Amino acid sequence: MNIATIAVGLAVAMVLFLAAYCSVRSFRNGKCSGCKECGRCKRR
Amino acid sequence: MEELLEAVSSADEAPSPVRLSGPLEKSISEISENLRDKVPEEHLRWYSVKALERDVLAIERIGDSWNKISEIIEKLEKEEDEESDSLVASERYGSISDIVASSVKTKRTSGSYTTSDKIDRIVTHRWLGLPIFAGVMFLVYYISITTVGGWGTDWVNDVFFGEWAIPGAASWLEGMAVDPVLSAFIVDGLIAGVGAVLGFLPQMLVLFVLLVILEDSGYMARIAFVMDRVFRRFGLSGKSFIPILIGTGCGVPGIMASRTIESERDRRITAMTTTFIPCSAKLPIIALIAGALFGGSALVALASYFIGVLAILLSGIILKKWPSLSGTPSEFIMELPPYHVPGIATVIRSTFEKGWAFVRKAGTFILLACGIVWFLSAFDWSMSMVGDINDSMLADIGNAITWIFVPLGWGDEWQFSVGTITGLLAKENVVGTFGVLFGFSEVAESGDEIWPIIAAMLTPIAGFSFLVFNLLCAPCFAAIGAMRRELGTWKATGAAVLYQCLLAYAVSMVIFQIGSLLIYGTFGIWTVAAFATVALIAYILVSKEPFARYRHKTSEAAA
Repeated sequence: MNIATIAVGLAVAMVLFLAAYCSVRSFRNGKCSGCKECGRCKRR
Repeated sequence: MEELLEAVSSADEAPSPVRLSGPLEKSISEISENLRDKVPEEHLRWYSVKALERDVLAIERIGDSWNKISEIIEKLEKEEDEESDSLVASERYGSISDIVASSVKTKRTSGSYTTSDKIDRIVTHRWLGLPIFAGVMFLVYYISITTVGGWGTDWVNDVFFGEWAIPGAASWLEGMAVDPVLSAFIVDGLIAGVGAVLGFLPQMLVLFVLLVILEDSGYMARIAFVMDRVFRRFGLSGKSFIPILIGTGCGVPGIMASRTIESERDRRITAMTTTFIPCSAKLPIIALIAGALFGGSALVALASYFIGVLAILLSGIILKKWPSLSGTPSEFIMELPPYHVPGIATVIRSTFEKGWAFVRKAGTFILLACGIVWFLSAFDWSMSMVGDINDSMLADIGNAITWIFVPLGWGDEWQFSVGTITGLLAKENVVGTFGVLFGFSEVAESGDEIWPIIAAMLTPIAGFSFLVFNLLCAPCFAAIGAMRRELGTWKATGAAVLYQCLLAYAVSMVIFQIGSLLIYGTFGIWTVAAFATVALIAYILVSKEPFARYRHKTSEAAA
């Protein structure tokens, strides 16, 4: 396993972690899908 | 205002009450005869008009006489083909207009129409309203799916992802000597999956622009008015169309908008059926099937839209016959805003917000789902990489459930069943899953697209059956969560989801089986099942109390 693989792997892991964090946060925000049509996202 | 009050109080005699039209005055007289012993003489007319408006407090005061009065009102509504409260409101406003016209001097002569009125005489016409709406929606989908939006999507798929992003990423990772498994995960899993969804962004943006223009111009408000006349025949009111209209963007706010409906039964039915209308997340599926099997025809999108409306109308009839949901539809009175030219800033801002929400969803839910789908499709149960995707964990999972969908025409290939399941997370995942499973990156190198692969696996009628199932079946988890909040209990939510899945299954099976019989002449046991399903649905629609056996059980449960 070379340094490039480790670096790219870490970068991908960070991206996936952020994606999971944003997904869980929007899911817990009253099942918000982030569409902003209800106006709740703006108030937060 | 004070001058007005002074003038009224110093008048020599009390003003005479507003006289309504002949049929209404006749009904008021008949109602007054029935109320003569119930209310004071000086309040007789007031109570009669309130009864005509079906005022709840007046009905309570009227008591036993309401049955007879209700017959008088129903007779009037049948003769005038309009709800009694709408008739009274309309006549009142007419009287107000006459009084204002004779008392207030304005620049324009009374009786002349504004531009908004002139347009409304056509677009809200009793017979022309619906065909005009159908024509407008066809034009919207023709521009967004087939022409302008379609050209953008072709460029994004063929050039941006096909020639730049995917080959570029693959060669960069190879040049950096990154592990081949990690490279495959990034290129074939994440980029291919998310790329398949983002490929539809141009079509989505064009569609958003057109829908925002229609909404901001004031036309969408007229549609609710036009649809009220149609919905009322199916046991719903025009108020139910507002959440459906919002649901064309996203089902979550659409379901939440059902809170504006006073009638609890109408509110529950609307919350259960709002997601039948194609939301923006389902558009990539529509565009994929239309492009792969129907030459990008806008009729596929239009048919999807109207199948959704038809499903809502049929559900209105079916669910209204369920004992706990039966009742008369609530009244719908709405002031139509005047037409105006949509502001460019509003259009741009609204389109940007909707587009950004789509991209954000692709970068979160869909990215994760594509990663998981790739992993399950690249490895077998012993965690060894597979050469043939049919040996993977995902293929085993897919094959375990795909038999359920054989009568629908797409159960022979496990990939479509898996796509449907991943669509529960977010409907765009269906397309993202196909991007991973059908090797978007590999076929992009050869110059082909996913479309020919899907065309080789599905006949057009099977593809349409797949599309309809994904349109009508259980919505994404976010929408299910919104339904739970509106319906109150998980039991009610589960029943609603079950109803949606059963209806989707029934409709898809009927489309595929009877469609195949007509087109290809194929006939089998499932064709018989499809005809039996049609007969069952017809029975439920026509029968007065098809769920009578459940009336006693729901009454007990309510008690």
